[in-house]
Amino acid sequence: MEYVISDAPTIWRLLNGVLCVYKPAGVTVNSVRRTLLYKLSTELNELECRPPVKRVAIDGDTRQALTVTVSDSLADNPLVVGPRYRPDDFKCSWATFLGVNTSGVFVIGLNSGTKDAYRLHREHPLRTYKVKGRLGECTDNLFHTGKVVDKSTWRHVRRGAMEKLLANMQASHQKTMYQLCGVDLQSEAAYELASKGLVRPVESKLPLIYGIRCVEFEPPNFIIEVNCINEYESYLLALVHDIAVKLHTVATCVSVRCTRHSCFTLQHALLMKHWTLQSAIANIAQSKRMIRNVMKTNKNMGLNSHLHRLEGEAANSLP
Amino acid sequence: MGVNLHAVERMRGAAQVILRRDFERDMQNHIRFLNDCGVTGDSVGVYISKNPFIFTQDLDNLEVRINYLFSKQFTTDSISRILVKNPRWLMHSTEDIDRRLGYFQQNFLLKGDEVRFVATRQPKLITYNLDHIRDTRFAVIEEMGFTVDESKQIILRKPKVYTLNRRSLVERFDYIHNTMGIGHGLIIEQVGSLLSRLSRLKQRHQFLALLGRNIYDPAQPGYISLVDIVAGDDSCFCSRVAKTPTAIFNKFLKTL
Repeated sequence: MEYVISDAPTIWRLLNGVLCVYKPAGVTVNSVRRTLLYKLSTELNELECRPPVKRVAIDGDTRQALTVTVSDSLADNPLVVGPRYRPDDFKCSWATFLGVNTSGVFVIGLNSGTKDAYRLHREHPLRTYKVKGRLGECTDNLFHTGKVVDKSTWRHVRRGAMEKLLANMQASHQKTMYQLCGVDLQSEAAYELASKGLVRPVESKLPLIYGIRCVEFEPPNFIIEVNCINEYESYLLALVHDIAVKLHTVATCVSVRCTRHSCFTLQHALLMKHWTLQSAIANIAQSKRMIRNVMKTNKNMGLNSHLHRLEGEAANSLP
Repeated sequence: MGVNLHAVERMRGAAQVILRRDFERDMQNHIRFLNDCGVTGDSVGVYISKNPFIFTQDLDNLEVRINYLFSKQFTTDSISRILVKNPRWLMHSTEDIDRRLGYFQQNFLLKGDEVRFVATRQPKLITYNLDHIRDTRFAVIEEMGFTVDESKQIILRKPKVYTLNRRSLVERFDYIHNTMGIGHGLIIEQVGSLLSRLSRLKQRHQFLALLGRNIYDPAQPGYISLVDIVAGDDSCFCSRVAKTPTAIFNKFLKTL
């Protein structure tokens, strides 16, 4: 059964939580935030808002019976004080920053949900990206929109060579992880660490790759899937470039798409046309449940040290 | 009257204009005048919200400006449409409006009737920044490669095109002409497509290309016109043009 709430303050109170939206490529995160808040606030204003406060006027001669009139205060009329809900009224911040050219899952905290979003970010969640590249050309900004500065042959590149290289990169990254933790890869301590789940970095500066593989290879185009933590857009662009250089050619990145952010996948992400109150509230309720599950799993798994946080759920997704 | 004082307050100097005036003495006649010119009902409130500075103008001047329009054979209906659609029109002096109408007449080789049609259809175009219009016209003719006659057809069909940002206009044209491969003739016929957002065009074209339905040649069977592509919301587009469930289109959008 569907309930219809037409009372704006009630709806406003429901807008507390984490929202998962689909960020289009070529749009900055700030403009995503602006558009979202603008859409939500205009829709709220169209609902039944708070009526103007009453103005009580007591008129007449003080020596006789006074007349009391109660009327709507003009000073509180929406035409005078402006719309009841403005984009500025929302507290809104993102969990993880995404670059301009990145599209995909984008997690935003709304009102009291900003705390949850921040906490989610502090857990160093695993992100999965599908990065599309094109061999043969290199541009000045490493993205396909830039100016071509270098060209090279790419016919010699085989899928096997690329997969070998990617497996190599993944292994070296995993090795670094254990080195950063200060344990020997062959030791019992390393086993203990690994058995508890994903080993996460302490700080949020160093990008770490947990899994990288080639999911599509149709030269000159290829798509690689990267599971990583602490990455940023230019890091992924440089990654594509590095891969190509090691394969004795050059490449540019065509698209960067985030398909997964912690427990949020593309399936949960709201497209721009669905940024409405109704879908936003449904999405917030859904993500509330999901975040609770993730936090519970984290707690049950126990923290293996104050340095390394664990998330069992994400570890299962690794290839 | 439904004047949005909140909006007025945010305009620089507008609050002073309203506050200094006495309704009986300074405003009533102006409102009566607007009513006589065809700005009636709710549109008076909207008019004053958009242009509170109308009260700073002398009534005689306003009279002269309306008479000028009558002398140029604008009908009563078109004058009321001009005022409702472009509240700031009356702020321009007669000489200024004359100069602007002349500019359009000369540069776009318009006949008298056509000038009146354009002014009525998109009154904001006439009072727009003429430098901007000149830039856009340059883009239409030199950058996009339309002829002078075609630029005239654009202004007659969709005058709004000339108020668009030059860069985004050229981007849209570039996508339609070079990526989708649609010729100048077809674009002129369906010039409304230049008013649609680039992202919308891109999404829909890529989806049609994926389905193999991107047939933009009218001579071929299964032809899809530009108007079909940009018109309607996504569910409408999916059922009428792409002939797929909207859910599939949504899934496709998440792969971009």
